[in-house]
Amino acid sequence: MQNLTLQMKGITKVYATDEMYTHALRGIDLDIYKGDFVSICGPSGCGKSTLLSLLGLLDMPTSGQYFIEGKDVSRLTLSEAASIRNEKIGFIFQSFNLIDELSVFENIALPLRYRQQKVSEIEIKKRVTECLQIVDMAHRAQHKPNQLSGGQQQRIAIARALVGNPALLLVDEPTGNLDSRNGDAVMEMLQHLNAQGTTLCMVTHDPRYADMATRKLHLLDGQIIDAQHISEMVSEQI
Amino acid sequence: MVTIQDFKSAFHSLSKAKGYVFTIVFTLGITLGALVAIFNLNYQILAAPLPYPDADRLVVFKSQQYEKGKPTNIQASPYPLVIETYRQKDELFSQKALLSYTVSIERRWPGSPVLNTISTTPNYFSMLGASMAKGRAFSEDEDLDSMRPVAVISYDTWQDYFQLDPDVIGKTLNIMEIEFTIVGVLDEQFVEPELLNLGWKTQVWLPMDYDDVATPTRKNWRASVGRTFVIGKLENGVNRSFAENQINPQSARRFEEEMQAINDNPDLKLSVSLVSFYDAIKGNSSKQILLMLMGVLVLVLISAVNIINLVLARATQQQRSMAIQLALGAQKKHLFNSILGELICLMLGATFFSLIVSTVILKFIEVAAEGLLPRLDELKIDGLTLLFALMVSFLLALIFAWLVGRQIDMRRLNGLLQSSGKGVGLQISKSMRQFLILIQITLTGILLSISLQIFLHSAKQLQQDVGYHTENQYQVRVSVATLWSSTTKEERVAYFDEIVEQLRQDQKIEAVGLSSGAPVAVSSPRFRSVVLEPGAENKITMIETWGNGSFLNMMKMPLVAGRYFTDEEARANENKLVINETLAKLIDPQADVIGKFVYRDGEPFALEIVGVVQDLQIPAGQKNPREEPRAFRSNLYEESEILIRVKSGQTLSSTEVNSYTEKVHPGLKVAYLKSTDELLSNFTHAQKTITGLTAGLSILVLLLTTIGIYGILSYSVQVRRFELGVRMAIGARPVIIFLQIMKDNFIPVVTGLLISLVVLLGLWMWIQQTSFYLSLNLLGWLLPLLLILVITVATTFLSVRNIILNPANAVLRGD
Repeated sequence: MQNLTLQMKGITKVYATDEMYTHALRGIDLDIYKGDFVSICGPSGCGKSTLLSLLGLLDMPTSGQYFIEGKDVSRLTLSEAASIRNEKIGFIFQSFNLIDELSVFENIALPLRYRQQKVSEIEIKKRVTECLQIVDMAHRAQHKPNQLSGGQQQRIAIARALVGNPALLLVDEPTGNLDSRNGDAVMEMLQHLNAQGTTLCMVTHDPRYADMATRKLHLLDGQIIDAQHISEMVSEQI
Repeated sequence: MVTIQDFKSAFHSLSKAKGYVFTIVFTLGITLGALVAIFNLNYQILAAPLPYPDADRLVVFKSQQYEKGKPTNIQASPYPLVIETYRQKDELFSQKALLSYTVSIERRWPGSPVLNTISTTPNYFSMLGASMAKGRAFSEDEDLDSMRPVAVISYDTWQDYFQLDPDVIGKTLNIMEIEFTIVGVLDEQFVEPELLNLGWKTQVWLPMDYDDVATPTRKNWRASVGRTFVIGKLENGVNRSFAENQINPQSARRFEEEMQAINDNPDLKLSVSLVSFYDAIKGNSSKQILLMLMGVLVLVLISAVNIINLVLARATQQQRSMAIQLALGAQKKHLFNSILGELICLMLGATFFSLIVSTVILKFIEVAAEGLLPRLDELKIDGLTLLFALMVSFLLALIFAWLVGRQIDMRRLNGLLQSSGKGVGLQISKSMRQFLILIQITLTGILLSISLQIFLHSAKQLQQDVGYHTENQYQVRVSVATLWSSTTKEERVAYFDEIVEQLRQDQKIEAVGLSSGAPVAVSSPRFRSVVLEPGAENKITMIETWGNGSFLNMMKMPLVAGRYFTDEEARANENKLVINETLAKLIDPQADVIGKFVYRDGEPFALEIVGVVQDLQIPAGQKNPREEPRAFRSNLYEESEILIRVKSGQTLSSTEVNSYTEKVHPGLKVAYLKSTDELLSNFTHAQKTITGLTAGLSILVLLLTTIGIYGILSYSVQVRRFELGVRMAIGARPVIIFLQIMKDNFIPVVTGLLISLVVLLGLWMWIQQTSFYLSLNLLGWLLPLLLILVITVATTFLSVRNIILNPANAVLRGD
């Protein structure tokens, strides 16, 4: 348990409307360890995005328990969830979700500015510059997002996700809005980050990219039907 | 050109947006209703034709007396000159009439009711084109010196006192112990010109021979009666200033001749001007009603800004349908017509609602502004009002449509379809949203500050202690009527002494005093001049009240120095004075005046100051509320106002007082009996109206601003929803999101407040140049600031609450 980054026990999520209940997740049990690169795949509507939302504390489960680094985060206020999200989790979205009005530098600096414990400007500049160098975008610091290509924007989004030194990087269809060349480059970068110790959890439709993960989860109708280490799968195939 | 099809589509489309329709019709309906009502009021007072034939030829003879070139308090001609002016035949006037306003008592009727009366000459009715419901007006043989006791009554009098008796003609009224035969009843539609007091409604017209001006005054060139004057109808083709240039020198010369003949003040001069009926009736109400119009225009502007935001927000919702229309070959003008059609439908709804609102407001004005503004009886929603409302609505529709049209970017709309609606299309730009907030805050800051300053000023006047005792006190005026001519002054004074003694026998009465009139009474205060040395040049004008010691004891005005005078000193006419601090400081800057003497202008004897009392705090409208110099003099007046204090819980009626006066002399009757609190309440009618109006205006402004800013902010938040969701996803706490939105609004809010401050400073500097008085209150500045900040914080929270009170995922999904 020493390296357990997050743990889900019997997590369910039900969306209720006046007319019906939709069971998006049904009893998910999941452990992610430090240094894992987990890919989640499955058909549309299987619950991938819901699972990612719960992992990222963007939403709260209907039942079950969820621990991040041993701390129970199943029942948090919106403000507590925001603080943990800010300090422990980094997000990379399919559509980049950069804020057009802010420069590249300010977009990356944003998570640090939301820290409850104030981060100095010197520290912000240092961290942002480091992250820009990691994604090889230091020369674009003062540009606005709409002046960049899709691939460049996703690299900035990765930098933003890394800037707070998160325990977990959640990645939602990172290549969905990119051509294959840029998609490959982004995946290469993610693999590189994982190789350096960053824990990653990625939702993807693309089996090629899902295979780049160290663990692969298959979701169907809100349940994990298959959870394998890629190495096991590869050995089975052999 | 908007087509029938555009209207049909608009109607169909609006039927699916009931909330939008309701907000616009309600917001604009209320403010447009206020605008229509105040426009109606302005038109009626400033421009509407008077309901009299050849109204532009009707004039009022106004007089002003001057001393050494400076106007005195006397704005009237001596009575003999008024009569001379009427009798004078010339080619300037086709008709003249005399008017003398008074109140009469019908002594036979239960409770001896007081009737508003005009004594007049026959031409009065023909000049005003008065038609009769019954009988006739006065005939030529009922003119001056005919001594024919006839009467014409108003329709209301016929209704109230005769229950519309068809046989009223020939019945009699007993006034001044004379039987007046009713010869006519005025038509219900007759509109009486308010030439003396606003809100005055005459109940009975008597021939001029029976006006109640005292016999000595009728021949006295020193005495002037402001309530008696001449009106005239200029000959066709005679210019008013030409006639004035003829009349004024004649009147001034006659006045001078008579003053010389009686060796009176040679420095006193008279000037007579001819004032048109329009100006006489309008009085000085123009400034008030124009200010009201300005206030309402700002209200309309605030609501227009609200609506611009709503209309633009709706246009953004409709952008996809606009894009489809463009794809099918529509041009910009087609889109414009479609928008205009929808706006016209909305404006028509708002106009209809505004007419209901304006009818209610006009009814309110009729009641609340009675006695404050002229021609209130004539207020009504007519064709002109309807036309005005429709024109304003159509103009607003055009402006709104033009603004939306400006926002339509054909290329971006075309792109909307091509890129599946992601990230392009029509939006209210950030700068436009901030500009709308800035306008809202600026207008609100100005209107709210002005409203609250006036509200606090009026409320303060209403709340402050007047400075004398008012509880359980009644002020009673007893009419001596016909005793004027048959008794001496000493006899009449003695009658009042006897009445006081009779009243003191009543077990429920605690105290009784006599005066020429309490500080707030039905009668107007009397201004007199005093000098510090006989024959001295520098005169001090003061309000003089005659009274006895009991009156002062009952008033309980706090003494600053000296003492009150006594009943004995008053009875012996010892000419003692108790003055207020203001007068004391005018006499001696240190107010060390006890034992000093002052001299009434033109009178040989000295008045000894025995006491100084604190200044009274009588509400004085928008004039400077500084207390006038005031003196109470130890003399008994021959037609005193009796001040009666009853024991706690007791009341007093005219009938009860009449039972005492009749014991003294059957000719003495109560002319009015009112409690001091009631008189004060009537006196503060203007303050109450202003307080109510400004409070209502402030609430309306706050409501409109709240709706407006909320509309703009919630739209802004809606536009930024995804961005805010991203911020939340990367760890922004709810409070950070709230502060972020607050920060974005900070610049337009602060800029708006600064602009309103600059405008208010300009207004303040302008007010300093005028006679308008307003005591500034710090709360009047701080409260608008605080309220605007509260509104900004509250509307920010309301608009962002759906974001910050939901999980980030829901925000990103747009749930």
